[in-house]
Amino acid sequence: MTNIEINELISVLEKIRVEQHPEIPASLIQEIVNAEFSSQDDRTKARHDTQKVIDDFLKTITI
Amino acid sequence: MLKFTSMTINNFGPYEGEQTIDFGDGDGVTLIWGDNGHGKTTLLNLFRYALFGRFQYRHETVDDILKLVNREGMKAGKYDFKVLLKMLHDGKRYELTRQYSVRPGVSVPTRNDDYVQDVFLKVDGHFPPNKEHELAMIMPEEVSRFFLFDGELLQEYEELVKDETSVGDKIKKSIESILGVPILTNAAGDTNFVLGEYRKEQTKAAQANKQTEKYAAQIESEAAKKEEQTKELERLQTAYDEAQDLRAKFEDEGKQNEHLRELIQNMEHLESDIAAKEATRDGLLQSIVVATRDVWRYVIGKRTTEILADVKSELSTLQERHNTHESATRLMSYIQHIVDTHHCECCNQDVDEAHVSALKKRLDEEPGEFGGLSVEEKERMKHLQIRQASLESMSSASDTQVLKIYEDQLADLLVQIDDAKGQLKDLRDEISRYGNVSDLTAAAKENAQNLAKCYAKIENLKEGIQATKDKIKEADIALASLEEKVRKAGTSDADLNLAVKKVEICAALHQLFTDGIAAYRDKLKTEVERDATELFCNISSDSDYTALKINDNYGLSIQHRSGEIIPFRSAGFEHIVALSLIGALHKNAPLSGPIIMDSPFGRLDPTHKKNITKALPLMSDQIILLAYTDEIDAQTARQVLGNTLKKEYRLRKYGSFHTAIELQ
Repeated sequence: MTNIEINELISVLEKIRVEQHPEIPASLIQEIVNAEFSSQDDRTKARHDTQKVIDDFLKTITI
Repeated sequence: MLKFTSMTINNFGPYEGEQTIDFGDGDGVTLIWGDNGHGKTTLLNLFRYALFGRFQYRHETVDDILKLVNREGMKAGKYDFKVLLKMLHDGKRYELTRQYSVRPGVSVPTRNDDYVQDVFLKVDGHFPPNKEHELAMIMPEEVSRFFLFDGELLQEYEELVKDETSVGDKIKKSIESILGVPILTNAAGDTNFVLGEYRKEQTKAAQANKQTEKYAAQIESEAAKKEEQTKELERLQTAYDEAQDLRAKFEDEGKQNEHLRELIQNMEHLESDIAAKEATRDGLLQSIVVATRDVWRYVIGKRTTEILADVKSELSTLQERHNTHESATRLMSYIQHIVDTHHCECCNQDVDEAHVSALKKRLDEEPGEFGGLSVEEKERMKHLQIRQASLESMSSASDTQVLKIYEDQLADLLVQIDDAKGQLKDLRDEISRYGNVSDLTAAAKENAQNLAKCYAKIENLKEGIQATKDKIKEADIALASLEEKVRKAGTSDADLNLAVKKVEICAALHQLFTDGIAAYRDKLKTEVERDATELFCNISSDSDYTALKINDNYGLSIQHRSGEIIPFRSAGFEHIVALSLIGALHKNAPLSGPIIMDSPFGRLDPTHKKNITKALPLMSDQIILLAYTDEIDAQTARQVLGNTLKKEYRLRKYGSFHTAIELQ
């Protein structure tokens, strides 16, 4: 699986991220898209993987 | 991009034995020529069968496995069949085998249970742990309509320019699917779910803080409301999707009923037509029987005519002599009377002795040529008279002509009856596929009622979905306000602040993906419209049609040079617009692959056929075109495709159940 095929989709999200949510890292968006893209045929796995990506990121957040 | 490199068919459909079509690794067009009934559609269906395990005949899935086995193979005792599809995707080589083998212990299969189906997938020589997932990733079935299609399917794209038709909704869903929109809608849904989880964490942290606990209770209540409404929304969405599927089913049934009604009407007309023709045939046969009674006359006619001529000639001679004699006898009798009475009755005068003596002398003379027929001659004349009558009754030219007319009429009629019976059989076969058709009116009525109920349900569900979305929005506003209060009140609580921060990030993520859906859709529409217009202008021969305009359903309308939208377009242009859309989708889809099309040229004129052929390489890197002879001109196709034409195959039929795939 390559991400080349979803670059167009990510570029749309990246534009919104830069303009409206610069505090969110681009890599987080990319990882979520990858998780959803890779499990299009399995919604449970897609949700699980997306949640894990977000959980892992939020663990790194400090005040 | 996915590419097909070869397909090997073994003992399947009309393809006897093992046959391979090699598509090669490079880009370009493969042309497969085949006339009607030579296995083009089967070939298209074989790709579908290999990829999805489903074999379709027209619009129906074929469930009877035995119907798929090659008949010649069956005769030779070969009941197993398989298809091997070799593919290339992202540099990896895929080998997909789907086969049906006769179950051990069964010598002659008679039902589906006698078979075992096996599916093998090798990726770069290895068997992946989840072959279904691998296949779904390279070619999901829900988007297959953009990869494998026939000319008939292209007509459905017209539904996209109409509002809210079930077919249009279905195609729109497939379009969004191939374009990758579900990746974003699923991401928005999943980030919303994660947001809900972190809100629960935040509520717990707020409950533990004296300054925020009062808000925590409210947040909990609002979050519960939102969760309840979210579940309700999911339920309504599912019900809406189900109702739409049901609507499509009922609409399809309605169309099928209508179609079936037409078929039955046609069948009844044909039956009465055949009955009338058979009655005419029986009448003709009777007439022929009658006419045939005298047919021997025709057979001996020539000889009879010759003999009759001889008989007439001889009889005429005898008759002439007989008549002369009769006249002479009458004259002699009259003269004798004058001699006896000395008086002429004719002139009523007495006759003197001198004249009487002269008359006596005349009476004594030899009769000469006025003599009568001999006894033999009289017999002969009688015989000839009988023979003449007999011979005349034997010859009847008018009867033979009538017989010839009857026979010609009968021959025509028999052909007409055979043709009509053939049509009737086809009709009956088609009707039998619908199952019980005894009460079509009741079925149509029930269908109309179901459809009306379905429409009402869909409207209610739409209202319910909107109302639920509004409630979720209200809950979100209330939650945002409460979270703001928590933020302000609990600034010194590190745990709470962290929980708030996490919720903020999750909310931002959810918002980002939600906004991304609309932005991505807008971008796709712009790009699909642009690319479809480019393809359309390449194909269309009408220079006044300058653009295609896309609507919210991805339906494309033709725009005139003046800016006006063309209200009604021909079936030919419908094909061109649909092909332009498919080409544009392939250009913009995250998932791309080969296009395999069966007889896509429909009612297009030669110029448009040529233009489409030329534009094929622009639609996808790999095109496999199945066409019947003369659907497109072979020389023109070769010329316009140039070096983009990779290979040409011909499906050659060697028997009803044996088609060979031959490289041209």
